[in-house]
Amino acid sequence: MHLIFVICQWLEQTAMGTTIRESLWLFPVIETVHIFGIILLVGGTSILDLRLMGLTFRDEPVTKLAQRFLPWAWAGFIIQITTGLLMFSSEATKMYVNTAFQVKMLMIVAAGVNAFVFHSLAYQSVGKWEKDPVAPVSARIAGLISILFWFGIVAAGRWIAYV
Amino acid sequence: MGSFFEGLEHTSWVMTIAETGWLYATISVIHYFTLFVLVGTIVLVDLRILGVAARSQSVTQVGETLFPWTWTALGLALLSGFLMFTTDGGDYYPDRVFRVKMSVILLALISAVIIQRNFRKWDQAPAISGGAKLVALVSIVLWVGAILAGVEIAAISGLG
Repeated sequence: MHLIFVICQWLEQTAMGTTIRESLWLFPVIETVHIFGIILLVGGTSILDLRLMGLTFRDEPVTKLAQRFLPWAWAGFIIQITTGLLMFSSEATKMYVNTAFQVKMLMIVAAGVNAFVFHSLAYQSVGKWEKDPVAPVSARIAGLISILFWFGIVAAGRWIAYV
Repeated sequence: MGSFFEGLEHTSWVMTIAETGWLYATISVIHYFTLFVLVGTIVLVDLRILGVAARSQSVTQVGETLFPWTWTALGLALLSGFLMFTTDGGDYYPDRVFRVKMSVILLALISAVIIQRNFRKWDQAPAISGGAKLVALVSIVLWVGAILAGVEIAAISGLG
C-alpha cells in the first residue's frame, strides 16, 4: 500500500494536480462534468438493470436495450474515469485516507466484477431469454447487484465530503 | 430574513440534523440523487425538443413519460435542500454564490414550466419551432449552471 501512497504524493505534485488544486474554478467545473457523467453512466446501466430485474421495458428485448443504452453508459464511464482522475490528482493523499473514497473504489471494482461475471455466464445464453418479460434468476440477481453497487458508488462519492 | 434563518438554526430538530453527521450526509446524498432525476429527465426532454435524442419517440411521448419524474424529483430536491439550508441558514442566506444558485434554479424552473405547458402544442406543428428549441437550449444551459453554482458554494464560500 505504501507504493500507492507514493504515487498519490507524486500525482499531487504534478502540474495537473497543482493547477487543479490552486484554481478556484477548475475543480468545480470538472465536478459538474462528473455529475453529468453519472447521469449517463448510472442512467444507462440502471435501465438495463431494471430490465433484467423485469421492472421496466418488459416488452423490449434485452439485447435491443443493451445496444441502445450501453454506448451511453460507456461514454459516461470514460467521462467518469477522466474527470475522476483529474479531481483525484488534485487531492490524492487526502483521498488515500478517506474511507468513503476507499469504499467507493472497492464498489467500482465489485460492480466491474459483477458485470464481467454476468457477461461471461448468463449473458452468453441471452438469445434464449431476451424476449422473456422476466429474465432468469442469475440475470435478475446480476441486475440487482449492479444497481445496488452503482447507487452505492454515487452515494459514497457524495459522502467523501463528509468524512 | 437573515435573523429568522439564524434563529431557525437553533431550533431543536435543525440542531439534530446539523450535529448528527450521518443524518446530514444522508440528506445530502438524497439531494444528490434527486438532482440526477430532476436534471436528467428535464435535459432529456430538452434534447428531444432539440432533435438530438430519443428521436424514435415524439416530443409528446417523451414529455409525458418524463415530466412526472421531473416534478417529483423537484419536490424531493427542494425538501432535502431546504433541510440542509436550515442547518446553516444564517450563512447561506447572505451568501453570494448561494443566491446565484437560487436565481439560476428559479430561471431554470420558469423554462421548465414553459416547456411543460407547451410541449404538446409544439409537437403538433410540422416542425419544432426555433423558439421552442431556444427555450430547450436555455433550459440545458441553466441546469448546468445550477449544478455548477451548487458545487461552487462549497468551493468558494466553504459552506455545506
